[in-house]
Amino acid sequence: MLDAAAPKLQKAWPEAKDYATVEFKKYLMQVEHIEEMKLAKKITEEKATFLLDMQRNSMRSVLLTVEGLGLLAVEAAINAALDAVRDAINTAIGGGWKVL
Amino acid sequence: MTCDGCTSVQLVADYNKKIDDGVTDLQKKTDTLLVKLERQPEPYSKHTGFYDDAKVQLSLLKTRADAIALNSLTSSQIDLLKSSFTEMEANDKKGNLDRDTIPGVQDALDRQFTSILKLEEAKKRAEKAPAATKSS
Repeated sequence: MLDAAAPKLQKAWPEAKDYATVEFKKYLMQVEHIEEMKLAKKITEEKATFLLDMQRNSMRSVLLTVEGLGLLAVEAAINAALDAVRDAINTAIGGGWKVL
Repeated sequence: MTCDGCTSVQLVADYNKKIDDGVTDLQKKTDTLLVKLERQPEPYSKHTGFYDDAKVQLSLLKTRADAIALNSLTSSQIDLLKSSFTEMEANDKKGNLDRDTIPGVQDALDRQFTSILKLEEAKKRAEKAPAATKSS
């Protein structure tokens, strides 16, 4: 079961990690840029707060996607594990029963 | 979690084309407005219709997302998008949506739209076993 499940997780995690890494970097760059504009007095405090709020919402949404990608990976791993033992368990139970 | 008798387990909702299309459409309308405003600024009163349409569209998306089992992540993302539009409208009223802020606003909104679409796309799943029972 573990052998069947592991590749699913190994494949999905790097994809989620790459996405999260790129988005975190973009987020940090934007926050830095807002801070620089504020310090240089190119934007008002109110505009800076507005932009930071927008960035915060976007990062929260990214984190929800990362959580979803993780759940989908776990789902795929569980189903691969179930597939791996399905025939053996159904045969062991016998009588034409399909418990899995 | 849903378990199909238990032939397979489901932890996240299935792909929904209407959510995909609705979010894509809203992104297009939003980008169109922001590109126009960056080129030629105009007062809030000139585009109240855009905010009214966006509110209706977001409300429909939220209702649809809430109606689907195992879809709480997408529902929360749509709540965040609503919050961003509320924030944008409030700042537009104050005259804060201008050339200084539009690039940052567009970047943040595009990231939000993309995150929703990325999760929706992932829900298609490369290979899906048939499911028997569902429990959320």
